[in-house]
Amino acid sequence: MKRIYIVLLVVATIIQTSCTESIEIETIDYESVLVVESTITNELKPQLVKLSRTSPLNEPGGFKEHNATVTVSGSDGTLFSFSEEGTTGDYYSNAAFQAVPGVSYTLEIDTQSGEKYTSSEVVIAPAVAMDNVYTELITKDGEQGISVFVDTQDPTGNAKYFRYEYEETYKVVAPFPSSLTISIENFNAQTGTYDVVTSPREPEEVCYSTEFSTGIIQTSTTELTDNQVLRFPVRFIPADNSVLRSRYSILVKQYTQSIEAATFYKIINELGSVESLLSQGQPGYVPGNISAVGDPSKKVIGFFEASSFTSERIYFNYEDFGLEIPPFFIECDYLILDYRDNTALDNDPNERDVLRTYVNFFDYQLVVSNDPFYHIAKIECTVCTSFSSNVRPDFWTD
Amino acid sequence: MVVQQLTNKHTIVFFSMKNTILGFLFFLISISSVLGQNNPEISVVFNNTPLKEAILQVEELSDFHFFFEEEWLVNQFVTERFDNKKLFEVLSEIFEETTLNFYISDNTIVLLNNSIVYSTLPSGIFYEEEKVTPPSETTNAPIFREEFVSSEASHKGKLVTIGKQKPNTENKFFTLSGRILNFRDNTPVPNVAVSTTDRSRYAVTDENGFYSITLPYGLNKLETNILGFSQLYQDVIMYGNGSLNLSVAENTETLDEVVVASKRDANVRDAVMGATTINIEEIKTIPLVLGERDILKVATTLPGIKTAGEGASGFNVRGGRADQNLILLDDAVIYNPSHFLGFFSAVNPFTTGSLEVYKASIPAEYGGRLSSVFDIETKPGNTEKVAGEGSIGPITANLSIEVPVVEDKASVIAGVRATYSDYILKSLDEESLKNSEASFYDAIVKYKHAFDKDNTVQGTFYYSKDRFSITSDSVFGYSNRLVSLKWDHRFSDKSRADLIFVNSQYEYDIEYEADANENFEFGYKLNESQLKLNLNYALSKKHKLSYGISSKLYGIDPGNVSPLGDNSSVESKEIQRERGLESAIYFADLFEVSDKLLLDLGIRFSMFSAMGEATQNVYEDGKPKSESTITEVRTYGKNETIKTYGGPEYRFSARYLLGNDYSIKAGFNRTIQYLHLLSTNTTMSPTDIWKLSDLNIEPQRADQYSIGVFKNVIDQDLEFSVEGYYKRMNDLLDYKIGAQLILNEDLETELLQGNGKAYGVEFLVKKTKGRLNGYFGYSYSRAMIQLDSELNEERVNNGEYFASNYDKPHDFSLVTNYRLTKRYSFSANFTYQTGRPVTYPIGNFVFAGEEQVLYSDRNQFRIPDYYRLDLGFNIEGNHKKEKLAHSFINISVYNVLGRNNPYSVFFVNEEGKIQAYQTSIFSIPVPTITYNFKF
Repeated sequence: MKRIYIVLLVVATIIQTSCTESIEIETIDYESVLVVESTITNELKPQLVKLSRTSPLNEPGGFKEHNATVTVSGSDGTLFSFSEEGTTGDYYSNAAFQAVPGVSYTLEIDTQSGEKYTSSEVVIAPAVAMDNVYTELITKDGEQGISVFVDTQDPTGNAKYFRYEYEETYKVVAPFPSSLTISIENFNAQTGTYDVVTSPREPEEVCYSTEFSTGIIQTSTTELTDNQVLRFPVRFIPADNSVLRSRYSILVKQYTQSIEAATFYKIINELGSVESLLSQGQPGYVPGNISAVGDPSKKVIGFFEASSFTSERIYFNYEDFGLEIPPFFIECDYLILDYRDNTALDNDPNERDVLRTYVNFFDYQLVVSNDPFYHIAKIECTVCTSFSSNVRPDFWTD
Repeated sequence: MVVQQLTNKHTIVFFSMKNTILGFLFFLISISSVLGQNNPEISVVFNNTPLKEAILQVEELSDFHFFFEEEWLVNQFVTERFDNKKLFEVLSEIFEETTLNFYISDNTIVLLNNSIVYSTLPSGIFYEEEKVTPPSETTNAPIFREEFVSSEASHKGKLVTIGKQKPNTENKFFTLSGRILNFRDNTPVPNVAVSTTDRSRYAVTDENGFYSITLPYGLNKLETNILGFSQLYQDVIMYGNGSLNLSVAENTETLDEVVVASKRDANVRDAVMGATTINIEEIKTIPLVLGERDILKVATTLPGIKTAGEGASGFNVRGGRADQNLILLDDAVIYNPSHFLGFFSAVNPFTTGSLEVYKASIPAEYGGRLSSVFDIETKPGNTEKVAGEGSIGPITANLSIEVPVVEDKASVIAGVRATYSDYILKSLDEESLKNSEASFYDAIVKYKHAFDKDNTVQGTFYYSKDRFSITSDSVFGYSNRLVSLKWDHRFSDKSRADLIFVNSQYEYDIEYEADANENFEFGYKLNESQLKLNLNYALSKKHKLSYGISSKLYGIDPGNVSPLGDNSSVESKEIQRERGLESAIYFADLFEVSDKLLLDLGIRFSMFSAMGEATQNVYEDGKPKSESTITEVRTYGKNETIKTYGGPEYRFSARYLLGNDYSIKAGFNRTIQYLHLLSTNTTMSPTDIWKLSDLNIEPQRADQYSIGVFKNVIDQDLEFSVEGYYKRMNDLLDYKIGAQLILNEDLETELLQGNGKAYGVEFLVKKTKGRLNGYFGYSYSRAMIQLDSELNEERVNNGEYFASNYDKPHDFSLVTNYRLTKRYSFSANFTYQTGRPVTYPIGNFVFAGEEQVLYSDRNQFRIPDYYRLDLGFNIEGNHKKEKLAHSFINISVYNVLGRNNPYSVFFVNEEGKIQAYQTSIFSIPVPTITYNFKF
């Protein structure tokens, strides 16, 4: 029995046997790797090549690659030069062109630092129109919302891989449009008095916001499904999403892909997705179809693809689905302040001071002026151009 | 010869019977101790006294009884004067000029004529018709004198001359015959190998200890070899036919209980390469982590056997993957031989007899795995009395018991081991582990029944179960179940057969309970049954054959997931069952070409059929396998063959003796593996999936070439070996980047099959006995894999060879034990290994509007090196015979240096910075005390 006590004593002394600590990882020289993202399409337009650089792990990525010489050459002898666009840092072809079937295209990049990269030859994947873009009210992961589906099919069976992007445009209607500007003048710090100066302006009530999809959305057909894409969900919008508050429009873009391109996008997408208990992916460097000239082992990320492009736009309103009106983008507190109230001793804020502070420091706008009462609200709730655009898109139909 | 009564006081039976195999010297004496009796002083005068008279006089003067053969004393006289001389000195002087020797037990003195030269061959047992030549006159030939009990491993006798040198003898060869007796009690010792040290001449004693060996004229160096006895070296000059009796002493080690001084010299003499035997008793003193004696852990300290890390289950043998080891417990496959993620092995140390590891030269009877065989045998229970063993450590308690069922014929051995509590996890300073649970147990029962000398039946049942949580919301459980039945039948001395049936089942499940609507239960099950007939036939002295057939049926349920709880929105999914039949026929010949050259020639023909019912996808050629390149889905009915693979597996090895204890060996080994473990973790984990070859997954194949030099230094109990190997592997399974393995219906779309190569040099020095014993091993080895393809997607690291997950070039281990006294000993382990390769994130980039992580080439970097020192102190209980139980206390400190060895390395994004972290399991010295007892 005595022995058992000894054992237990020792047991009790075992504490803290494991630890997690940060380590200096083996010196990994930061390698600035070129990232290429380009899809030329059969749409006649200035084509786009995006060039950026990887960044060290501890910095945000996406530094643009500047001053590169970018060309796309076709097997039919055509040559297209690209120039860097000032604001975005992306490269657009100097002339609009379209990829045509039967011609193979190659992307060549000479960077500022003298590195040369070339893509393998790509041909345009067959064109397939979208059969149908439609919406349905569904429940996804326990959440009600509107799903935008695509049906597509290629009876020839040539196009099997599809990548989607979308562009969503929605009307923004300011709940408290302001037709007056407000400014505080002649503020006396001792007395707390000031003058409220208002002047009329054109109210910015209706705006249009456009957002582009991010991330990789792709699917494929198989012979087993008769080369069809059926009910492929491109976008799911939860019912309480503010983009649905007014009229909503989505432009679904479909790119046909080659198997190589589709695979590349798929792996990039899988590596970036969150791991769960049952899915732990094998990480590694993902080679694309771009390589450094003369140095095949040099890392470069990206894919140059030629793709058939089709797009379709649809419009809808939340009422079409019998939904309640979704909330505005932000909570709009609507304040009515009395200039005469200049004390907080009445168990009520010093409204004169609040008015001045909110207008000067929080950029509240005047909704209604009824001296000495001033109705103010956040700028997003009063002037839609504060976060959206008052330019009505050409395509817009109400 | 005649039976004589030599003295009037004592009846002594010296008899020798013609034409019987009972032999001719039979002492009926009892021995307890040779030392510590009285040695009286006597005074006596001999003046040309016949020797026999002299002895009788001495007998009168002392309390001793003498035993001898009168014939030995004929014509010998003594002239000497002794005044108050010690008896033993007197005897020494009396016999100094004779061929006689003596030894004392209790109050008897036995005279031996070990090295007397007389040409009369022993009573016609071997050479009845041999001509009797006159006795030689060389009475003053040097005496071969036995030394008293010595703990040394070998004895060297003085030079003995046989026959008389004749100027012009015609014979070039003479026959030396005689008998080998146990020094302790003079019982004949059968099966002693008597040979010249260069092995050119060889004989084995028969049941009565007789041997006969033909030796060339002149000086011959002889040695004896038998398990459990000291080696004896004897130089003999052969001038004619003659006889030489020898006594061999038992090794002192054999006085210890159960210790079988395992195959002495096996390392030099066997033809097999890369084989290691670990005896459970030998590892008793090795320092332990958390007090668990662990035979599999010890195996990993040997060169060529590695683990991916501390607490990682699975072994990497000579550059092989963790799934390439056939781990057998009493012939049944044990799929997960570890508890709690590899901290403990699932094999009960108290019921384990031995472990044989084959890294190369895998015997033809084994197959189905590429790299190695770990053959663990449960020891048979004690057939004479109830015995048991137990231990109490900080984590587990273990008890085994042996009960005889039919005396001397049948017994049962049972062992049970379990953890007390979950407190290890609670004590780990790892937030994510704090709220976890862990428990395990295992139990084994073995029954063995020897019905008669020709028939033995044995059966083993084993079950192990683990249940633990790693995160607060999930619980893992896994279990192994084995059943093994074996009938061992002896047809004749030359021919034997084993009929073996085994069944193994491995299961695991995961319960995930966190988010109400995502709770699930996941299950996996593998079951296999094998029937095997193994035959051995000793065709001749030169050819020993073994052959047999085996067939194994697999059934795998590769996964099903079902919602857990009413709120769960997880959809049920079940992956179709896989079935397969693996059969083999094999034949091996142990061919002794000459005394020096031994060949072990084996061939195994194995065949595997993937069977229905199943559906299989057919993919377009030249395209990456993916859902969209499926061209056909084939459906197979029950038992319909989907695809058959197979081929010959050659198992050749050869040994050539360069000297008595010096040999060179070479081997070629081909293996095929039809069952694969899929795991994207670097280490083997319980959620890995075993998958059978099918229409789309080829079996893995390997060819290993090995060569080695083995040298024993007998006097110092040292064994040296250097082995080199080169291994080529085909169709090794690996994964595409981003592969998802679990619940994947089209698993082949995530897999790649590539070539592997592994090569290395292993160096081992072993000191098997003595106060300081242990071994030192070093290996330099590489394990590389190549995943190349026309298709970019299926190419990894540019299609070049890259280091596999378990490539650890330098591996050094030292295991030592120093015995202070019989009861106290110190032990120490030191291990150093190169850190294993990992794939690191090396940058960020933005693609398709999202931030992504750039990874390095696969396994481009390495985690920090691993090293660890453990110290232990062992206290044996006293050796009183009549104690209730023998105790053994082991006090050890694991990781004395407190090295933070990385178990895993992971990356965390902290405020936009990616920081690398490592987890260490035992980052501070861990003291443990374990109390073991035996009754």
